[in-house]
This record gives sequence, C-alpha cells and structure tokens, in this order.
Amino acid sequence: MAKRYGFYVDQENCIGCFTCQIACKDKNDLPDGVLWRKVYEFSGGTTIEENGVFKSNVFAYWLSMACNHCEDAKCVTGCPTGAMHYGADGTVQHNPDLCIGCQYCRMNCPYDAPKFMEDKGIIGKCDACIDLRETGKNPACVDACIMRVLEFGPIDELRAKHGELADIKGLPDSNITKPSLVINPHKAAIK
Amino acid sequence: MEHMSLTLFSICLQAAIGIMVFVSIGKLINKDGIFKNAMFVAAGLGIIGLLSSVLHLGRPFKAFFALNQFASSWLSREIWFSSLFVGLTVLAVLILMQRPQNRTAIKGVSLLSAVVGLVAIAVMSSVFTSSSVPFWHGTVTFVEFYAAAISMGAILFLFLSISEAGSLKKLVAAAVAAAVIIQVLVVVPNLISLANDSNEAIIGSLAILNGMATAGILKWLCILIGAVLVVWSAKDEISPAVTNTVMVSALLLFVGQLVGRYMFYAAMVVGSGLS
Repeated sequence: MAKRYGFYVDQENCIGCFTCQIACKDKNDLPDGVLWRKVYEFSGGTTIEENGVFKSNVFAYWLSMACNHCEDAKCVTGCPTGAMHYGADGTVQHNPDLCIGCQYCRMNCPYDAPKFMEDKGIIGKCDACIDLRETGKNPACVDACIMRVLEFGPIDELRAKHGELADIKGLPDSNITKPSLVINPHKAAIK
Repeated sequence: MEHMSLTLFSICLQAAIGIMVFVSIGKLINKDGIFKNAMFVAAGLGIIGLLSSVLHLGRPFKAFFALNQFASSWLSREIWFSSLFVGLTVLAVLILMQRPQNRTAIKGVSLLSAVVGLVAIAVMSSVFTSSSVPFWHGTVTFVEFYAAAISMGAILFLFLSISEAGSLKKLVAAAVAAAVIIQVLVVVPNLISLANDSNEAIIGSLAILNGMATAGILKWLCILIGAVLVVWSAKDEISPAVTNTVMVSALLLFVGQLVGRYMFYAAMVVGSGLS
C-alpha cells in the first residue's frame, strides 16, 4: 500500500504568528479573503476572586489548519464531477478542469478546507504544495514556520514520532473523515 | 440572497413533483381527468428549478460534468433523478399536446414521472443528511422536503385544475393537513432539542436562525394559515369564493415553504464550526 502523507501540528508551541497562513497565500497567489491555510485563535476563561485572592484561568491558543488530506475524505466521495480525487501519494487533490463550482465539497468538509475562488468560479484548496514536493522540498507553510511547529511527511512516520491525536477542542470527531493529521495539543485544547 | 438559487431549485422541483403525484392520483380516480394546467405548471416549475440549480454554479456551462459520479456522489444522483423527473414531465406534456387522445401513454408517463420524482426527493434529502452540516442531519430533512412537496403539490394541483379536481378537494385537504401536521410534529420538537446541543456547528446554525426569527414566524404563519384555509374550504361546493380561498391557500403554502427553505440553506455551518 502506498504511503499516505499528512501534517503534524505542534499546537502547544505555536505562537500564532500567521507566517504559515501568509506563506501559503503568497505561494498560491490567493485573492483577498481566501486562505487555504488558516490560523484560528481560541481564547476564553475568566478571573475570579476567592477569599480575597484573584485567580485567573484565561487562555489563548492557536490552531493552524489546512486540508487534512483525509483517508475517508467526504469532499472526494461527495464531489459530483470527480474534480476532488486522491493523488498518487494519498493526498486529496483538486482538478480545476473538472470543477463546476457547485461548492458541495464545502458542505462536506468538516474542516472547512475547500474554498470558493470567486474570480475563477471554482474551488481551490491546499494540495500540500505538490509542485514543491516533486522537487524534494517541503510545503511552503512548513518551511516558513519560524517556530518549526509544522511538519509534513508520511503520516505513519509522523504518528510513530508524535502520537496519533487528531481530536482536540474545536475540531470534529476524527472518525468522520480520518484526517492525515497529528496534533500536539495546547493544554486548554485537550478534550 | 446568496441561497436563493438553491432555494428556488428545491422548492420549484418539489412543488412540481407534488403536482405530478396528485395529477397521477387524479388520473387514477377521475378517468376523464386531463389536468392540463397542472401538468403545464409542473413542467414549467421543473424547468425553472433545473435552471436555478445550474445558475448557482461557478461554471454553469460545465454543469453536465455533475452527471459523472453517480456511483459515489449524492449530488450527482440528485442531478440524474431531477433531470429524469423533469424530462418525463415535459414528455407527458408533449404527448398531451401532440397526442391528446393517447390517454394511456399520458397516464403512464405521468405516473412514472411522479414515482421518479418521489425518489428524487429522497435523494435530494440525502444530499444534505450526508453532508458535514450537523443541522441538516436526521429524518427532519426528509420530512421537510416531503412535506413541502405534498403540501405545495396538492394545493397547486387543486387550484390549477379546480374544475376537474373539485371532487378531489377533500383528498387534497387531507393531504395538505397531514403533511403540515407531520412537518410541525417533527420540525418543532427537533428545533427544541437542538437548543440543548453542545455541538459548535449546531450552536452556530441556531444563532443564524435566531437572527431570522421574523422569517421563521412568517414561514409557520403562512403554512398553518394556508393549511387551515384549504381544510376549511373543503366542505363547500366549488364556487368563486372557494376558488379564491384555494388560491390564497396555495400562495401562502408556497411562500411559507419557500421562506422555510431559504432559512434551511442559510443555517449552513459545517463540522465543528471552523470558518
């Protein structure tokens, strides 16, 4: 069986600098408002007084998220034209020539990865920088990360190295699409 | 009005399917019934529906690519069954125009169109229940879609063919009443139970619906008043007053289901609520 590829996200050490988001946008020349990799901010908690002592449980953390190149990608099974398909390396790829811009993949992806490109009338999404990888390089987001919290590689190797967790607060149940994703969670994001 | 083309597609097509269901029932009960107006409007609504579905695409001229993945995609199946239904309805109308004496063919094609249409509604529902929008999951979507088809189809059939279908008005009133009662009994408790759901996408969908509360009230008022009017008028003989009541009822039910369907699409929040 061919190796499946995916991302590792070290959320605990992500500082929310958005460099990955910008590197992706720049590399793919994306128009205003379209992000194939997006950094989400989560914050909450409160400060309370207990017996004259102020206690705080406020938190803030980030999650860098793109297409997770799922093993059971609902965007692929739902696509009526075959535009969404699995590439030779198991990543989810998109054929713009077959796309009719119905946006059904947007209704099917629980990670909100496919984006509608209004200027072209079709969907666009992270292809894990397949062109860069063919020349032996990493995806743009991985190499741009100043904290080195993103990795891309065979998902089995990433799981062996970092564990198998893909379920954290704010993400859907990983059993739905089996994402090729491993996360080192921020303590406030642990389910 | 981002969701208007999808709303028009599903409402027009379901109304057309409902009309053809009652045209078929009408032809079985009243052997002399032709129901020409109802058949013409069903074909027109079906064509408008299909055109609306194409217009919402980013690349409408490549719409036929959507027929490629029947084996795996509910959306592809929806396009197949919707197109087949409209094709059969148009064929029935063409036979009615060219060979009006061939009643067996008209009746047969109309019946086939109604059966394909009923399957198309199940497929349409599955497009949404199989998606990653939790608000659309469950039997409630099937109930909304079938109730819309039956209530709109029945009342439009009666209004458009009132001279021939007058004897069927009690059947029509019963069908509208049953569809609306089932719709209320399934949809309202579902909304109440979702209010306690901790899923972030559900919370997001309900927040959108809360912002459209006026539209929600309009939906239910139109549907309930429309249903009451047709039931109330069913006991009377056909007269201009009854015809007017049926017309108002048809308008109310159509508008109510249209508004409700717009809200259905507007409430789309995928998966975990990431956006």
